[in-house]
Amino acid sequence: MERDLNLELQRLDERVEETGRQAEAQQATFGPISGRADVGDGSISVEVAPGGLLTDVRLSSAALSRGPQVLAQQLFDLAERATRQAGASMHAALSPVLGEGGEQHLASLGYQPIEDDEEGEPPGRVTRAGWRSPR
Amino acid sequence: MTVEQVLTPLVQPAADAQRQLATDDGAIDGVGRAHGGVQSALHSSDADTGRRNANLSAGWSGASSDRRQEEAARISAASQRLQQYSGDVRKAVTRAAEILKVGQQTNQKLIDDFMRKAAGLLRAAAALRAAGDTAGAQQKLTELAKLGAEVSGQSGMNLDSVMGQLTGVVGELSGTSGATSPSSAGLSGAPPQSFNAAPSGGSSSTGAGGVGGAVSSGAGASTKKRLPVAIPPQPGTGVMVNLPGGGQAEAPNETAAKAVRAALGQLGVPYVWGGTSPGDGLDCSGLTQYAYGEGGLDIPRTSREQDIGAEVPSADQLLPGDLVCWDGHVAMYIGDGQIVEAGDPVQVGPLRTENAGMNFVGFYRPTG
Repeated sequence: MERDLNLELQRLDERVEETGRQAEAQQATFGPISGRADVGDGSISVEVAPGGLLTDVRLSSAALSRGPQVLAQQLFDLAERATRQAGASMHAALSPVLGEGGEQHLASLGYQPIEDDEEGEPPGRVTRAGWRSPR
Repeated sequence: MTVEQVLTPLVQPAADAQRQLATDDGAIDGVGRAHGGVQSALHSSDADTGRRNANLSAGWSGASSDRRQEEAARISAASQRLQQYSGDVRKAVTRAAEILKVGQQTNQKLIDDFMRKAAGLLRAAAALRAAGDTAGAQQKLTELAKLGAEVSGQSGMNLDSVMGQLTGVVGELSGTSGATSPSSAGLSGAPPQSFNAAPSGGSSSTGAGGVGGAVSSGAGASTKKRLPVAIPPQPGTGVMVNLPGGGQAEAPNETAAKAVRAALGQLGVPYVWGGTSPGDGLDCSGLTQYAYGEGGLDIPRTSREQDIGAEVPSADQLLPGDLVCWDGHVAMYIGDGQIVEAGDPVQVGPLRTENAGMNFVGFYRPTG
């Protein structure tokens, strides 16, 4: 039995395009996805893109007064928390689009929901994460 | 770039294999009908000869009569041999068709699995790109390319297995144990060896569980050679080889050690079905043949023929250079529980005895 591979590829092409359109619609509704975290007094804040790329770091003079080692550690912790937040937002946005079979593809990139007990406090407090306000 | 442009080169080798594995059911039925015709014609001829012989002997005696009787008996025996051979051909064709169908099902499953996984990866990539994560999208496409390479390698191994089994069927039909010599169909000489090694009923396990699955390929041609058992080397006679992980293992002799070193020197070389070009493209048996060739030992070309030397009775007695043989695949043990094999590419992995549903033949020491 000769299968029509071209037809299968054509159908897959349509499904992939449809997935892209749905993801774009999510993106248009909520705006760019990122994760942001800061310390309680607001002296340090970081923003990352999904995957962990730092897109913004803000330091006040109060932050600088804590010494290089403390500052480095706090930046590191905040970036990690913001990355998890960005991943959770990515998961929230794309899991409805990709369905059950898509979970593994999101999880392999670290995009998964944050468990409640992961929400520790110091040194960084997550102030806002996930969807940024629409432009 | 469309999905078609991305996927076509990845799935093409498996799709080509599927066409190569296609069976011509009409032609197979034709062989069956031809066999029926041969049987019918020979039966009539035999009956005629017998009748004429009976008539003649009723009123004829003496030396001429005896010669006539002998002649009649000879013709009758030849006729029976021809009938049997025709039956053997028909069985062999049916058996070959079964092998092809199992191979086709295995290949079909490889394509189906690939298409299903490719769909998931491509949709994830499209969604990630739309959400602004181009790096994530790129990662999914990289996974897709890797998957395509894997499915091509597995499809090639499946084809290799089918070819090995078909060679076995032809070998049994022609009464040889591997090499084909299609000239044994004559009426003179020994009668053609009956092809009766196939399991009764001849129905192979279907379902084709795919890679790693425990699926009997139903290979009736999977006969195991009786070879002497490999004797462990005496202390101090071994030759050390360096392993990729930094460890060392002791091969039983210089030939085996050189073979292991040569095989490890091919790590990363792409799998090419039928490939015998070191550094360029190798298939499973091409790798082992080349490796032993570097050690100074010529071994046969195909995996089905590389169960040679001495048999190693169990995995715990394996030594570097020993061959792990399946009905259609071969790998080389290198020591420390690891094998080197021409997957795609040539790679090192843990020792195993299952391989894409193929029958495991055994462990062999070519220098044994």
